[in-house]
Amino acid sequence: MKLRYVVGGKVCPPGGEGVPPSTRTRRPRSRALCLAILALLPLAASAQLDIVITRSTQRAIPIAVVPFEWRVTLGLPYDFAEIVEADLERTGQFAPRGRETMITRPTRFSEMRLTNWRIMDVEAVLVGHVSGTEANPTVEFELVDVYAGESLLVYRLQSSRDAFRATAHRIADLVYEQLTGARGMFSTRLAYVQVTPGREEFRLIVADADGQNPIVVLRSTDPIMSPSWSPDGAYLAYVSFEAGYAEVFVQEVATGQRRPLSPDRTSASAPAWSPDGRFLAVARNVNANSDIYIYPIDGGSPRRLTRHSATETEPEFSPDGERVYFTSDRGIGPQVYVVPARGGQAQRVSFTGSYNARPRLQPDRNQIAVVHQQDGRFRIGLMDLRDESLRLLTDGPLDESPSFAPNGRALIFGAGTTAGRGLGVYFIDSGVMRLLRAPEGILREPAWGPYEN
Amino acid sequence: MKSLTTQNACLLILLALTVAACETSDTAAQPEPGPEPVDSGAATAAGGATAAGAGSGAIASGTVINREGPPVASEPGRNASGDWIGGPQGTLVIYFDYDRSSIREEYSQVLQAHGAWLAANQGQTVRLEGHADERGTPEYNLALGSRRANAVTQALTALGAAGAQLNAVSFGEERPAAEGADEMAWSQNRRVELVYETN
Repeated sequence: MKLRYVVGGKVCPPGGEGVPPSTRTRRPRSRALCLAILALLPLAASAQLDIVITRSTQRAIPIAVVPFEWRVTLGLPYDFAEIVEADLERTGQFAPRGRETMITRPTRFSEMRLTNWRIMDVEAVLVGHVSGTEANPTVEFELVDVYAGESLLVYRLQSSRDAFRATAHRIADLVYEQLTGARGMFSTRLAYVQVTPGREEFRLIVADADGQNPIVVLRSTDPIMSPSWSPDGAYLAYVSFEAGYAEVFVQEVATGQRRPLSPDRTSASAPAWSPDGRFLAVARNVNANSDIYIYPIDGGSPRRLTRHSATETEPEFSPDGERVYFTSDRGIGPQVYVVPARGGQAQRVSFTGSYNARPRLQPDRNQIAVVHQQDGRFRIGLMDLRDESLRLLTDGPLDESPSFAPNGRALIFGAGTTAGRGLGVYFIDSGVMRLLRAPEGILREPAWGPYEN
Repeated sequence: MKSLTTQNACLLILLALTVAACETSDTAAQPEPGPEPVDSGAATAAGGATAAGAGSGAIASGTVINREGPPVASEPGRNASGDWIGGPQGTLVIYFDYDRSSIREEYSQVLQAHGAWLAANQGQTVRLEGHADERGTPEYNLALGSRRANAVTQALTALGAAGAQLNAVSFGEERPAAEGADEMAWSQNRRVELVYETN
């Protein structure tokens, strides 16, 4: 491996995620503040998501993540390394060695005796230390290739007290990219719907990619469906039944400001953003016939993209914005079709089996994830657009709603497994599948957000 | 900071509710204690949601929607208090086969009765709520529920009801009548409910 020095003074993600939501409300009165706190009650209740491994790994890179030395004079030490290690381990691509097996705890490459680490059979070691003030500590770390005996990555990040987790995820991103060649996805966010027991409440939740820090951004006594991130991660489009029927709303995540997509309050569903963030493709139901329409995000009249008496729904733009993939049951059973975004003839894309729906394009690959049904089992499949071959990733029997991480190396989906219901996370390179579950209710319809830095 | 005591009180309430929530989490019948204070204070009615969207600056986190729409009959054909409010007596739920929106033969008589009744009571409107079972993608099932509601709409129109009396909506798989991942539950969820509306 070639020596690569990257010295950065980058500031970690702005405080947005760390700011307690109650401070962002505009209400001046103390009663209002009280209500705002009460509104966050389920946040505390559902903060801890249960994570279960449902399928074991194949081959993983042995690494060691040494606890970072805390050189800050005041404040409780924060364990950055623990979060970095958990991020890497979760992918199934890394096998971190336990801390108790470490003979020494170096903080930089120059302090390391490489033979100690070769004995442990690790290929890479992450070391680091934290200095400065507790409010704004500096985190310096180094990634070492044990066998080549060289430093692969040297980095310095400025953190702040409310962004420790974010900083740790950023470190994990950099290590992941250095060791796998793919950009890390640990600093991204998820959106999903939590349905409370008895379906009394529907919550739209935004959480970190590891399922931590869930924040309720919308709660309703009526169903919420199909969250979809804008390409810049600032907005969510989703379906709400608050008016008694399915309707698409667009909400700014940071402020909670929301508005219906269609000024005339037309019924629509399955929103999908264009790559430039200027349009939403939706399924619009006119006289019980669902077709794909393109809505300008800033108002203006929608354009009809498909004209067919069958059901057309679940649109998805191609990365260049030139085509729109969608599901149609114009043949026998639902299949994936594609149509030019400017309009034109639709072409069938999926041919394996009698049920392939809800296409999602894998970033940087000629593949789409679909929901594939065979013998009554609904599973997530990965279809190659060149040879139309289909590889089934999950077992079902009731899996749905696949959504790719922005690096295309993992996907999240609504898992209906025999082990339970929740959000399934499938790591494509390792074959590991995990399940995120809430302490109460069902989590469903996840959407993996874009890169945010 | 001047409302410190109030904040403390809030925290106490919060703690109390958290404890309460933990204690009652196993009893499904018990209403959830937490959200109710929120509903009374910070709820946004159906119409209000538009206003909030139009720029009144909705709440940053935990925007609340508690629809106070038209009274939803607890049982189709009856209002929330259980009074009969319209439509002929009889079956008001029509069930469907998997992934189908065609009406089974067994419902022709009951649909005839409803069609004739609506033709004779032009002022009466009915909401046709289409539903699907959980199998398949939620978005596809939303369209499927819509097709089912439309099938019943067309049948009632052919049997004498006026289009303006019929309001078809779909809830897809979002509002199942029965919970469960087996045919027993699924067969009850593939349905159209006729909900006679109070005018």
